[in-house]
Amino acid sequence: MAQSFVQTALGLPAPSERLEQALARESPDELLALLYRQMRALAGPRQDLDDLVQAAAERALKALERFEGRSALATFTYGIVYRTLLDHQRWYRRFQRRFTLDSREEPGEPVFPRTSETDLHELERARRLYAALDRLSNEKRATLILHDLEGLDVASVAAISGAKELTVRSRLRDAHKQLVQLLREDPLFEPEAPT
Amino acid sequence: MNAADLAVLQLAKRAYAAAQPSESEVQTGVRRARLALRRGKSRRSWFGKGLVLVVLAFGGLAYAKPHVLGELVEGLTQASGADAAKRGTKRGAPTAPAQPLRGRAVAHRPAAPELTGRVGAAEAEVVSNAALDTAPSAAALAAAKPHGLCRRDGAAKPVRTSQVAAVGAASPTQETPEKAVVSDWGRVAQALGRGDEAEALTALSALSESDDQRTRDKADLGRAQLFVAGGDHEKACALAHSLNNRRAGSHIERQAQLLLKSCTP
Repeated sequence: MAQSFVQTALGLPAPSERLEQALARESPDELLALLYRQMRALAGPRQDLDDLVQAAAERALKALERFEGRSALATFTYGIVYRTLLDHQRWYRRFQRRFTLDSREEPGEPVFPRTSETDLHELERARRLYAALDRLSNEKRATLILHDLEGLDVASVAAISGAKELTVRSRLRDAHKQLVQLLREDPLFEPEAPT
Repeated sequence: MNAADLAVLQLAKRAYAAAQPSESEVQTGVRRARLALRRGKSRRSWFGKGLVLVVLAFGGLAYAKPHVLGELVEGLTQASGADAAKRGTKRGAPTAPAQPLRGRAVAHRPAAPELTGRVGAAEAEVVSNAALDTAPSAAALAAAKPHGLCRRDGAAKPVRTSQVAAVGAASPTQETPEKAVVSDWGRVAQALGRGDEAEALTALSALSESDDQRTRDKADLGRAQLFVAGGDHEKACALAHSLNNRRAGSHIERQAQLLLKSCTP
């Protein structure tokens, strides 16, 4: 089987080659970095982010042979990341119906990197933003993040989420309404609040 | 959305941008993901699924019908024994009589309700036990309904079945000439059909002397059940103990244990 241009670009071997050999031969760090950024954007800073990235990477490496180049690679991988995240959240919901986590294992507050440039005030605002986003449904949350915060157009969001454009617009409208309602209750998001 | 809502969303976008991962965080995440992917899992997915299916199948069978597995093994060992006997016969060596195949599903069920009304439950069970293993007796019982029931195993020869059927259909006064044709189990069935327990016991006693271990066990079980029906618990319990001690096989042993429950220690 001939190598696809993605495999060539990323230095990946033919699909028949084993995953370990592929990774050992030439590291697809660009792909992993892309997946990490996308998963971080969709899922937010959380403790199981590495597990999610790993699950998405496994899927992506398997799915690359099916990639025909009809969309951008980023859209293709975003689709994988989106489905991985949704599957994980469904699994976690089912898990929570039967089990409760020990308080030590409970996912804590998101941790942001502390750099000299970052404004602590903005980070606190980001923390509250993620808390508000967590209260939206998975689909609406992903749609809002992809469109408003990541800057993708509606067609791309529709391709990623596997929904019609009208559905995406509808989700977007509802997500805006809910998020604004949630954030307006927060004093940090008052437009005249000091920054 | 009004201007105030747009302003809130602008603030949200700014906060989101401020919380974007740094390059070092991404590289750390990439390194962790790469390490995790290198720990490849060499799974044989079909093996696990197959194992689960096999365990479920056997477990389900063992749970639903515990005796079936035992009888399956028993049947297999008997079949191999019969094969050995057949090979021995071909060479001209004297062998024990081969165990006939079973006609359980056909003979067992119709016989019992018909006889229960006449000779009591215990005797009907003896007849049905007799019908379990011997083709002629199964046919004799089937003969009570002349249009008969088809046999699943086809162990009995058609000629013999018709002969026995004729015996079953004949009146008791005419049965003497055909008696020679009827097997021992057939005699037991006929005697029970007439309500002649003494004759049934005699026939069962004759079967108890058989060379075949399984035939002996079944005959003893029949005798024990007849003794219980006749009120002779002492003899019945002795036979049941004997059957229980000699490990007579799953079905027979279970029946013997049932009998033993009514025995006082």
